[in-house]
Parts: sequence; C-alpha cells; structure tokens
Amino acid sequence: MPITRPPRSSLARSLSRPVRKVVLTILTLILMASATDSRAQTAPREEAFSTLRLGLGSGAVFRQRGMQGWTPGVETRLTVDTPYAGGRLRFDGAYRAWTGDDAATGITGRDGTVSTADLPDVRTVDVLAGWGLSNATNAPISLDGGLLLGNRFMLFDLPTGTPARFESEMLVGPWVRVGRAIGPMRVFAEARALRVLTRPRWETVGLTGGIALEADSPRWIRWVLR
Amino acid sequence: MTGHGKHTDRVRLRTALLTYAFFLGVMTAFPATGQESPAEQASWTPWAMNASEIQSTGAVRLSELFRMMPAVETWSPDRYTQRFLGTGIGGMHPAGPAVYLDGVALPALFLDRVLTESLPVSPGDLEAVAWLPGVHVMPGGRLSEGRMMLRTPMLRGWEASGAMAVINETGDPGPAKHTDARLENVDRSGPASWLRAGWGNGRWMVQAGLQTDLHHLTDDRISGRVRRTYAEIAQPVVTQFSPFVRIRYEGHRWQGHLLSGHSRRKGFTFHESAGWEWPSRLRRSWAAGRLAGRLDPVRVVLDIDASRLETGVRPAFIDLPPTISTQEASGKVSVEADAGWLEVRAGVGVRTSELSQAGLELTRTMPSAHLRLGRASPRWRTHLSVEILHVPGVRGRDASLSSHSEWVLAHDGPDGGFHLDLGYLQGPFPEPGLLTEWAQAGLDMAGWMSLPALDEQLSSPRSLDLGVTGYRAFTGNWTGWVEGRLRWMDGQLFPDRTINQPFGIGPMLPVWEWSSPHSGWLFSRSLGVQRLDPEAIVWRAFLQFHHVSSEGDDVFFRHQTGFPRHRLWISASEERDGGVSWTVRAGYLSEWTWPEYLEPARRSVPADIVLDATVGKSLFSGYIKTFVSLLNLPDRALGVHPAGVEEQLAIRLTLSFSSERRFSSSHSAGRTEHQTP
Repeated sequence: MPITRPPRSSLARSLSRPVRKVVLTILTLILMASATDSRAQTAPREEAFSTLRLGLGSGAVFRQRGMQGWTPGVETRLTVDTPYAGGRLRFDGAYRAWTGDDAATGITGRDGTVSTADLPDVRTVDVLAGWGLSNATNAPISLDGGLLLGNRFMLFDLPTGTPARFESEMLVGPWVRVGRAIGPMRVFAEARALRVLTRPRWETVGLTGGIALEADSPRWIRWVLR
Repeated sequence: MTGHGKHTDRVRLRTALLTYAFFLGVMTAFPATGQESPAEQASWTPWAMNASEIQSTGAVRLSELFRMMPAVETWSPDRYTQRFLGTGIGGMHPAGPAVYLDGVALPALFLDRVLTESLPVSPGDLEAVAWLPGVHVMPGGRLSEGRMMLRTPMLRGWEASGAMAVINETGDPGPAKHTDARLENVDRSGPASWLRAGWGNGRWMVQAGLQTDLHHLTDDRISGRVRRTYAEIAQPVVTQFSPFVRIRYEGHRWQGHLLSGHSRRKGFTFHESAGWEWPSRLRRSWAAGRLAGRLDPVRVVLDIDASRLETGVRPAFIDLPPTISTQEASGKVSVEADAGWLEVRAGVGVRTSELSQAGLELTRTMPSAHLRLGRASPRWRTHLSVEILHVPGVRGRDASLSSHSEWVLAHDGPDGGFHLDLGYLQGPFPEPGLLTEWAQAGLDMAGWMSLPALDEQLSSPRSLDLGVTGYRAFTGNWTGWVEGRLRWMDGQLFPDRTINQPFGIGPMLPVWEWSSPHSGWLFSRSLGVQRLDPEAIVWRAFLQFHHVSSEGDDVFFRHQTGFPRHRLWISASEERDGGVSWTVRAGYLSEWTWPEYLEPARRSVPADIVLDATVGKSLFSGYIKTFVSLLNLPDRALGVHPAGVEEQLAIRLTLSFSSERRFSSSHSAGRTEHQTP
C-alpha cells in the first residue's frame, strides 16, 4: 500500500493563524526597530564586529503546533550578537527538554479501544545564526528584531542503537527583543516564532527573558570574523 | 567493404572536397595577421562564468556547478547524479558534453552519460567555465553534444585547498516518527568534499587531489525501487572516492599537461531503458594529457588518453549483469603551420576500444584524420574543419567512414559581434560507453534490463547544425544577445520505448526495441541580457524557446520532447567588501509531459519554478569561506521525471579553505574579470 503524504502547502498558507499573527507582529516590530533608528541618519555606522553582546535567558513555549504528545520544559538560551552590515549578526544556542506523554498509536484493538504508548522524552539543542536590525546599542530602551536560521538536534530517550534515536532538522523564524539598560547590563524580553521544517510542520512561539552584557570584541575574534 | 560502400565513400569525398574549396574561397576574403592559431581563440559566448560567479555559488560538486550554468539542462533519477543535456537541442538522450580542463579533453562516458563525479576538477579549482554549444568531436573521434570548457590557474608556490559541503533536505518527520512509524526521513547528502595539495612556480605545477562524495537517498520513489532490487539491508547510499595527480608546464615554446586518476563508485546505476536500480560498483582508472610545442615554422600538438572501467555487483533480488569492462586508448598528433594567408592544421589519430563481458568481446581500432584551415584578423575569424573516422566492420558488418565538418565565421568588435557555425555530421561514432555498443556486442544484461539485440546494419545518422549568436554592448556594462540554433536529423537510431506503470510510480519496466531510421527538426531561439560589471551586481537573464518538428515520426517526437521546455532564467550575484558574496537564481520552465510514459504516469507536469540562493562570508582574513545555500526555495515537488525524486527545500552548508587566502576581498577582486576560455 503506497504511503500517501499530506498535500504540500506554501510557507505562508500552512502557518496556523495564531502563529501567523505572531510572525506578523514580530515583523512589524522589526520594521519599527529600523524606523526608530533616529541616530542612523547622523551617527556613523558601528564598526563591524567591534563589540560583542552576550545574553543569557530562560523562557517557555506558550504556543506550539505539530508536537502533540510532548510537553515542553523550560528553555535555556545563550545569544551572542555583534554589529555587522548596518545591523547585528547573531548566533544562538538553546537547550530544552520535552517530556513525552502517553499518546495514541493509532492501533485499534478488537474491543474498539485505541492503544497508547509512552512517547520517549526528547532533549533538543538549537544552533542558530541570523541577522537583524537594532535601534541603538546605547539607547536606554532598545528594540531589536531579525531572522534566525539554524538546526534543531533532537536526542530521544531511547537505548543506544535504537532507530530514530537521533534526529535533526532545519528551523527558521523571526524574533524581536525589547531591552532596558540597567547599569552595565540590559534586561530583555524576547519573542520568537520558530518553524522546524519537518513534515508535518512543527511550529513554536516562545518568550524568553534574560540579561545581556556588552563589551568590546577581543582582537582575535575580530580577526576571525573579518 | 562492398563495392557499393566504396562508391558511396568516393561520392562523399568528392562532395566534401568541393565544399571545402568553396569555403576556402570565402576565407581568403579576410586578412591574415600571423597571430596565434585560430584554434587557440574563442569567440564571445553568453554561457560563461568567471571565478567570482563560480565561487559565489558555494558549489562543491562539478555537477552542482554545471546545473547552475544557465544554458545547461539536467535531469537526474536521484537528484545528485546529474545528467547534462546542453541547451536541450540534443533531445532527451544526446551524447553528453565534452569536458575540457585547460585544453585537455577528459572523456568519461559510461552508459550514455558523462561521469562528472569522477573528473579531476571541482568548482573551487576554476577561474572560468564556459559552455560552447553544438556538435563536437573530441580527440579520438568521440562525439559530444557541446563542450564544457574549464580553466584553472597555474600555481605559484605551495598551495593547499579544499571544501566540504552537506546538503540536508527539509521534511524529515522528526518527533512525528515516533507517532507514525510509516514516516521516512528524506534525502540528504554529504559530506561531499575535495582536497588539493600542490606546488608551482608559474611555469610548472604539480598537484594531487581527492574528491569524495556521499549521498543518502531515502525518497519514497527511489528507496522503493532499491528495496525491490537489493538483497541486503541496504539504504540507497552512493559513495565516491576519486584521487588524482596532475603535472602541468606552460613555457614559451612548450606546454604540457598530464593527468591521471582512479575512481571508485559504490551505489546504484540507473538507466531509463532498465527501470531498475542496478546495485553496482564502478572502478575507473584513467589518464589524459596534451603536449604542444612550437618547432618553427610549425606547431605540434599531441593529445592522448587511456581509460579502463569495470563494473561490479552487489547482492540483489534480481539477476545482475556479469562484470563488464571497457578499455580505451587514443592518440592524436596534429601539426599546425602558418602559410601567411592561411593557417593549416592537419592531424591523424587512432583510438582502440574494447568492450568485454565473460567471453564476449567487441574490439575496434579506429583511425581518424583531421584537417583545419583557418584565417584570423584582430576582429574576424573563420575556420573550416573536417574530422574523418574510419569505423571498422564488426560481426559481418561493413566498414564505414564517419565525418564531421564545421565552418565557423566570427566577428568580435568593441561594441558587439556575431558567431556563425555550420556543422554537418554523418555516420556513427561508436564508443564503448554507449548502450548501442552494448547491444551490438550482445552483452548479457540479465534481469536488470532487456537489451534488444542490434544485429542489423548500423544506420548512418546524419545531422546538420546551424547556430547563430549575435551580441551588442549597451551602456552601463549591459550586453544583449540573441541566439538561434537549428538542427536537422535523419537516419537516427533511437530506442522505441513505452513505459507502463499501471500501479503508480515504481520500477519503470519499459518495453522497447531499437528503431531506425528517424528524422525531424529541432529549433531553439534564445534572447538574453547580462551585466558583467566587476564592481557591481552581475545580472543575467535569458529566455529560450524550443520547437520540435517530427513530421509525423512518433518515435522521433517521443525521443526529442520532454526536455525542450521554454525557459526563463534570471540570476544575480555580487562579491561585496568584507568577503561577503551572494547569488540568487530564479527559473521558470514551461509545462511539459514525459511522452514515453503511458497513462497514468504520463501526465501533464506543471510548470517548474526554481529558486536558489547562496550567501557566503570569508573568515580568517580570507583563508576560509563559509556558504549557506537555500536550494529549491519554493519547496514543491519538481516533476523532473516520473522516476525522479521529490525535490524539497534543501539547505547546503559549505566550508572552503585555501592556504593562499583565496577568499580575501582583494584577491577576489582581482579575479572578477570576465573571460571566456
């Protein structure tokens, strides 16, 4: 019996409505970030890779689609961004544990009941890179936004050698971050809508809060990046 | 040879001499300059890319680069093993392109396709690539559909370089695999890599290189076919390992280039006439070289090549062909002389080939002769050439003479020019890599393919090619061009195939036989613009229309349609300060059908939209460059072939390195001048 795949749909069409709203909101904020860059007209562009901003945050998924059967845990996220090409180049690493629930296997017994099985827990690591716009690095309130592209690595809690113990897939999505300078630090809140390009699609909308520190880039890092 | 054959050859010879006398008269109208041989010159072509454009694609395999060439049409049963069809005018199953590396021909034909993966060159080696359309005869009397001209720089000092890429198609089930066991992962590729280490001083260079490749094809269509044929727990994985060495010398009087390598390929072999995957191993050893010297008042050129290929099998549910081996060796020597008003090149060559399998053997020794008369001025260039190949009779068949004649007239002015070529081909040009030769030898294809015997007298195919290209420079580095190509074919031998897939896509199981003679017309018209400004964005756009006229010949129609699709291509690329480069390529290919298929597989395939994008950034002051490519951005099934794979959005990550800071901005800027080999 040939396996039939669900009909394909375009990127925009297959986004569920709530996720699409979040994406549109984030994109609007990104545009606002670029529009509110009042200093950009007069201030010289920051030298490429001159500073590094390290952020550490924790967050939760508040909406998801395509991952029924797993409950997301708390995320830990490390971000690094640096000025580049009129915006900021960004690299992300994130870790999250997902707890597998009892899920229907789709196998119906003679008594008509649908059997269930424990889904394995899964730990995911995201590695992302992207570029975005920022209103100003030293403004009291900052607004940043951009697009991230990367890979999600998934390790399922199964014995070594089990098929499908390890999976990986690309993910992509926009983000927007609002920050407030407090002394040498900056407190931020960030929203992200990520789509893992699996079939069926796997989409999450998450919120992360954290702190960021900015410092001049070490010389060796500038040399590598240039 | 029979008396009738002798008479026919005399008539052909007389006709040819009269034709050459006419063109000789035409050529005397152009002033001679005594400059380099016209053979060393090439006129303008719109189908050329320079180092900057090549680099910005992020391609690691040669086939990936060829696929990006605007003129080249490809199809593949597995996405990664591409088959190249030139501009489409050769129809579905032409001979494939001739590949020249720095002037050295690298023949690598196996089972009707060029094994590009085994060639000793990768995109990162190149400083220029150009596609020259039209029928061409390589040294040794091998026929090809166009020429792919590749050029690499001479090394200066020690240099090590390499690249590695992985391609991951999106659409894996991910966690959903644990809720629905039927879901399968999708195709992925890599690492595909190449490595080079060499030394040179501008005149001498020595280089050793290695290409490795791996792709894992789990697409429903291909993995389904593989499961039906492999008798082992095997995924459809293809691996390739191809080391080589080369030595090159560029002096004032002498130039020499010698290459040698070995290639092992483990995977599967697909042919439309079989409809099954052949779990196979291929081993190919090869050498090729060219020596040219100026021995005043003449110039002497020697071309040589030799190769041996052997097939092997892996465990399978079907009977597979016993080991097939092909061996070839050819040599050709030419002498060029400048007679003041006319440059003359004359040469002779010989090729021996052997195709064998378990006691069966088909051996041919084919001498050839070549004459070329040329005349050139700074702006005008013309030449007339003829290549004659003696094909010996085998298995009771008569010997015959095959020939290819060509007349070229080109004008390259400061603001524009044109190129006119007229070619006439007659007779077969046999090669052991052609399925027709396998059929003539009576090879046993076992359960893999029902190969009908080819016992009757070989047909004598003829074709006439006329190509005209005109171009004109406008303001702002924009150039516009038009091209028309016309081919008349007669006496062609084609496989008459129909493929019935009543249960949907699966093994094709074609029912077929050889059919001859067939005739018809092919016509291609192209129109394009390009902006080749090294300081700005490079733009290219072209539109191509095809037309096939079979005059009621259904076999000809079925053989030639399918690929002649109307096409619109637009591409842009740029190399920016800071080592950032990007390229975007968008294409539209019109709706079509694959006419060999019966219903329900024979269906109207919707128009294809292809959209690829690559961004690259150099690191470590130009020693390293990384690329991210988004391939097939529309993320939709491309109906390339009913046996092909479902192409999905794929992401390619490429990492390149060079000990010569090849990726620094200043170095790249110096390599952006557009040249044509």
